[in-house]
Amino acid sequence: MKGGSTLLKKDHVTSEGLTGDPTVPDVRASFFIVPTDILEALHQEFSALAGERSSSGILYRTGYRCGQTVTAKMNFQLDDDGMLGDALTNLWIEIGLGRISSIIPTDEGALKIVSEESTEARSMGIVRKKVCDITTGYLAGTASALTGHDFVCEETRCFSNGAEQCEYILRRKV
Amino acid sequence: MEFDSLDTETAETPFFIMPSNALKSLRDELAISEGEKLTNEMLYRYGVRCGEGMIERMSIKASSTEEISKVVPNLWAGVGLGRVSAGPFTAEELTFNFQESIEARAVGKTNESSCHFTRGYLVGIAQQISDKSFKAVETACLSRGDDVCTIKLLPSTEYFEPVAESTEGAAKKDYIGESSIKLEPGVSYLLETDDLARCYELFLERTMAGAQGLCITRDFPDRVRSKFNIKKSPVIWLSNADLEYAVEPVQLGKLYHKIEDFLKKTEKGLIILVGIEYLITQNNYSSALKFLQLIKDQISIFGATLLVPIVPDALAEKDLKLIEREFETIKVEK
Repeated sequence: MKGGSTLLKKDHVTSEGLTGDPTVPDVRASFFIVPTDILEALHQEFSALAGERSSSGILYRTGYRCGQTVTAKMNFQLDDDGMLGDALTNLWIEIGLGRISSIIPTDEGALKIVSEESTEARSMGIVRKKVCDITTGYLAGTASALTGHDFVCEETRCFSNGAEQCEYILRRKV
Repeated sequence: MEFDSLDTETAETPFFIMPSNALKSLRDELAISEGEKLTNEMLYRYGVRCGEGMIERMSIKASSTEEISKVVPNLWAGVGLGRVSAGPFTAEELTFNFQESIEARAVGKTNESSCHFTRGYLVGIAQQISDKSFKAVETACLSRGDDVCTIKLLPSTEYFEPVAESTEGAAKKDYIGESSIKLEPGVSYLLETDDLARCYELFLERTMAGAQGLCITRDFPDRVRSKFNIKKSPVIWLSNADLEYAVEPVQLGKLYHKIEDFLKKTEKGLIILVGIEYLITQNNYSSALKFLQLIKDQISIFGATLLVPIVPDALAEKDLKLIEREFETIKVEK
C-alpha cells in the first residue's frame, strides 16, 4: 500500500464483536463480501420502512461501523493526522466503494473528497437526491479509526442527484 | 457443472467488504425499530440478494443436489461467512455445516438460531446456480449452544412461475374489454372504483390475452380464484396468517422483494394489488406511498403493468391526490 510509512501497525488486535477468546486475531473470518447491488435494495427497503431520514441514519451508522472495524482489523493507525488524505485514498481502493480522485484540505480544516465512481451512487442511478449514506459513514468511520479522533462526513454533491462526481466533506467532530 | 467465464466475470463483480460486527450493529438497530421477527426476515432477504448477486455474473451452473453440494463449499470460501462443508443430501434436500459461522459468533449466545443473513446468502447462491427455488432452515446454531451451525436447503413452494391464464373452457363474460380500457406496458394505473370485481375481471381478461399475472390481494386466495376464474396466476394473500403464500401487511420490504423477483422473471408482467387501503392502515400512509413509488419505478424499468384498485372515499382527499400524482388514474364504473 502506498503511503505505508504514515500507517503504523498496532501491536495487538482483538476479535471485537466475536465470542470466544478476544485476544485471538481473527481478521480472516470476520469480514464478508457484499455485492454492491444490495445497496439499492437496502436503500429502498429502509426508506419504505423507516422513512428517508431514518434510513439515511441507519445506513450511515452501518457504514461508520464498517469503516471503523475494517480499519482497526487491518491494524493501521496514523501517527500524523496530516496524512489522513493519502491514507484514505490508498485504503479506499481496497474497500470496494469506488475510487477517490482527489482530497483537498478546506480553509475550515476539513477535507473535501471527490469520488468519481461512487459504487453506492452508481448502484442507485439518477434518483434526484444524495444517496451515499454508507459511503459517507464508511469514510467517517475509517478516518476515526485511523486517527483516534471522531470524524463526521457529509455529502455535498452526488452523482445520483445529477452531479458529475460525488463530493464529501470530512471533518473532525467538534 | 459449468464454469463459463468464471475468471473474467468474477473480477468485474463489484463488491465491498463488511465486517461481522457491522452486520450485528445493523441487526441491533433494525431490531429496535422493526422488531426481532421483521429484522430476521430482512437479513434473510438481504442474504438472498447477496448470494444471487455474487453468482449472477459468474455463469456457474449446477443442476443436481449432488453438484450443488460440491460447488457451494468452494464458492463459500470466497464469501467470508465462515467455513462450510456439505453434509448428507437427497434428490431434493441438502445439508451444510458451518464450522465457524461469523454471523453466529458476532451475535453470540441467544438460545435461538441466529444465522439469518447466512441462510439467505446460501439460498441465493443455490438458487442462482441451479435455477431452482429453495428455502433454508437452520437446525443447529452456535448461538443456541450447538457445536456447529447446520442449515438445510429444502425445495421452496414460494416460487412464482410467470404464466398467462388459459382461455380454455372460459365462459364468455362481459369483461371490461380492451376497447374500453387501454393498458400500456411500463405504466402503473390507479383504478378508482367501488366495484372490485370489475378490476379482477380486467386482470383476468389481460392475463387470458397473454399477460403473465401476479395477484396480490387482501381477499382470501381460494375465493378469488373460484369467483374470478383466476387459475394459473400466482396469488399472494395480504394477511398475518402463517402460510407460505401469505405476506404480513407490515412486511412491505418482503412484498417488494417478491414483486421484484416476479418482474425479473416475466416478460409481459401484469400485477394487480388489491388492498392498498389495508396496507395504509397496517403501516402508515408515508410508508405505503413510498412502497407504491418503489413498485412504480420497477414497473417502468421492467416494462410491466400495475393495477391498483382503490375506493376513493376510503382516503382523505390530500392523501388520494398524492397517490393520483404517481399513477395514471382510471375511473372504473360499475
